[in-house]
Amino acid sequence: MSKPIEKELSIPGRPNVTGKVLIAGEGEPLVFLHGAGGLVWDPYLEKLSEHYKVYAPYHPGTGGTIGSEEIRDWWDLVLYYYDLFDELKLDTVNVIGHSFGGMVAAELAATDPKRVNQLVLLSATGLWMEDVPSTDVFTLTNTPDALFAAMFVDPESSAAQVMKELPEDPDEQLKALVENRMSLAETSKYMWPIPDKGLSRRIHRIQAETCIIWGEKDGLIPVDYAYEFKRLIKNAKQVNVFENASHFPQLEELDKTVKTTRDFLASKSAVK
Amino acid sequence: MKFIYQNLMPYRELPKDFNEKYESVFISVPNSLYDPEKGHEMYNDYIDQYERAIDLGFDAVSVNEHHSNAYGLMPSPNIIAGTIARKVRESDNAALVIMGNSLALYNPPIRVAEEMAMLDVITGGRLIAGFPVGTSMDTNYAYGVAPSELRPRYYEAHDLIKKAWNEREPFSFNGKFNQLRYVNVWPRPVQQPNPPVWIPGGGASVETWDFCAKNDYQYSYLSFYGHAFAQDKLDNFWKRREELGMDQNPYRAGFVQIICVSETDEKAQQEYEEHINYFFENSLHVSPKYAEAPGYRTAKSVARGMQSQYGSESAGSQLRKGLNWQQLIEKGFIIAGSPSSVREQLEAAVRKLRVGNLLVMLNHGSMPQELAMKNIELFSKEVMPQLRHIWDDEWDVKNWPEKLKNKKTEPAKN
Repeated sequence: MSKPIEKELSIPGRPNVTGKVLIAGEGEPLVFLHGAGGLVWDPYLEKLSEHYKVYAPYHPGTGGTIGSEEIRDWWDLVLYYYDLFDELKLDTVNVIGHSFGGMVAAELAATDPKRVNQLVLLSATGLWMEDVPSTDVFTLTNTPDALFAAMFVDPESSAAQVMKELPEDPDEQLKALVENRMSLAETSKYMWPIPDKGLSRRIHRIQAETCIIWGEKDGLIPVDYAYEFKRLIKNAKQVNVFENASHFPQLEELDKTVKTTRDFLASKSAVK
Repeated sequence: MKFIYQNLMPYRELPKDFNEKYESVFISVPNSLYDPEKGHEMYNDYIDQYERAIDLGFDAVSVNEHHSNAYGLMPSPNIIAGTIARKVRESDNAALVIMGNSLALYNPPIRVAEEMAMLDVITGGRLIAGFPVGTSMDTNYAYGVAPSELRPRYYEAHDLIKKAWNEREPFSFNGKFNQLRYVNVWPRPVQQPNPPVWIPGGGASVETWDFCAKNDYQYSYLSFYGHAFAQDKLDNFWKRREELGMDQNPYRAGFVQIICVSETDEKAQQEYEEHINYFFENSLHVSPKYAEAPGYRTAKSVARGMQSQYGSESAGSQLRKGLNWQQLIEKGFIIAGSPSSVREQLEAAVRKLRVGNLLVMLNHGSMPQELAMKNIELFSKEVMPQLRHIWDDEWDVKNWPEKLKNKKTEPAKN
């Protein structure tokens, strides 16, 4: 697997905030926003980087980024990403968001619709359905076995292994465990205690053509949410549900998810 | 040595199979298990215990805050403090400890400044103000505060409350989490510039100790796992104070201990064992789901906790598992036995830990009222008077209401 380059970005006018983005590949730019567990350069991003120039920013406060305490609330976070896109010269860009990253991606597309060209929501959070509440993932983080059983159809699979892998060196391992814990902490700030920060009141503003990808057996965010996103986003073209996937279709059904993503992104380019 | 009577106010009639049938005593425990008729008796029994403890010469009584659980039924400790405030006032020398209010949970936090000032005024300057962060269960899960915001909110609330007590003119406060155009707390406390502040904590973190040192606050290490488990934490506390060039006065520290006194060692086991087991098995039956939300501790503390297997409360719970009565005593989880056994164990423990404030827990789990009263009685008459002198010839009392500092305690009333 080739290694992406790591780019640090300072935001003009925000001297105490430094962002960080993993970048790999050539071609049309494509942004990927990661979930609560933290950014992992996984086979899905690797495969996408064979066709696109992939930008995967770290959520503020994770991956060695600085200044998350100055990004106090949801509104600050949305503007932080627009600032980051500005620094990356991404005026209008295709965005993929997974889980918590999907919540952010949808908000970026709703707040300023012209910044997001095409939107891919992978097992996204951000909505709340009283009768099918999403799992409180944070209650599972002290029991890794229960957590992996909720995130993967087969917690022993090689797909799950991608998220389980830890460095062998004890110091590096400790660092990785603390980093994972702090990533949950930094993202939970925007999902606590219920991952609904008003997207449903703004989602009608999304103009981007949207592709929704979900695992039929998602143990964290029930597949009902896939259809709810479809119902609320006016240009949501497809709901792609993979039968043998839970919360990580991009790892559990890697080839299918890559193909669905590429086909969807190609469809719009063809229209242009 | 100061003795502080602390009752957690447990629900004492959980079903026998509680810890097998229910996942957690906190957060998900259904309140269908709470019988308000029985609860009525329990509250009044427990308030009687506080009043008796005051009559029997305890230096203070202490209340604390917990939410959504079956072992600590003081979601509003200030209400219980209000019911005993008059008794405190009428006593010779009792102080009232609120151990305390979880500052980040009060909106706006000046509510704490107001209520504590009320209690300080009602008692005539006998209040000790405890400012805990609160457990993850209480703050993140029961009250919905985002874990990563808990400590910033706590520190901001602290600054606001202190300022509200110390300023004599209305002021405005433009915080990250609290905006108040007009802060003007009526009443203001009797004790100037403010009541003594204690910081209770279960995490034994250097950050907390430095915060105490910087502000001249007392630190109380609150763990249910006893004096042996507390030893390395308090050793580190004293070491840190030394590094900071602060004094080693035992009154800078407090500690909580489960104690059972009876006529003989054997009788103590007969009378208390089942209730101690109820406490450890039911009252501390917290599901790992709610034990600690990510972000509740700082990255630094998380790293330290992962490096030390004895770091956390869950480590205490692991160490406690499977121990019989005798082992619980030998390993210092509880102090129990005849008055002379208890005196011996307790004196050794407080001297080793170097603590001047002992929070005495005498009402455990399912204990009936008569037995709790007996425990309070025996402790006050057969243990407390004999140990009171500890530290007194060497150290001045600190972090205690000024007007009570040098009061000599009279023998217990009957």
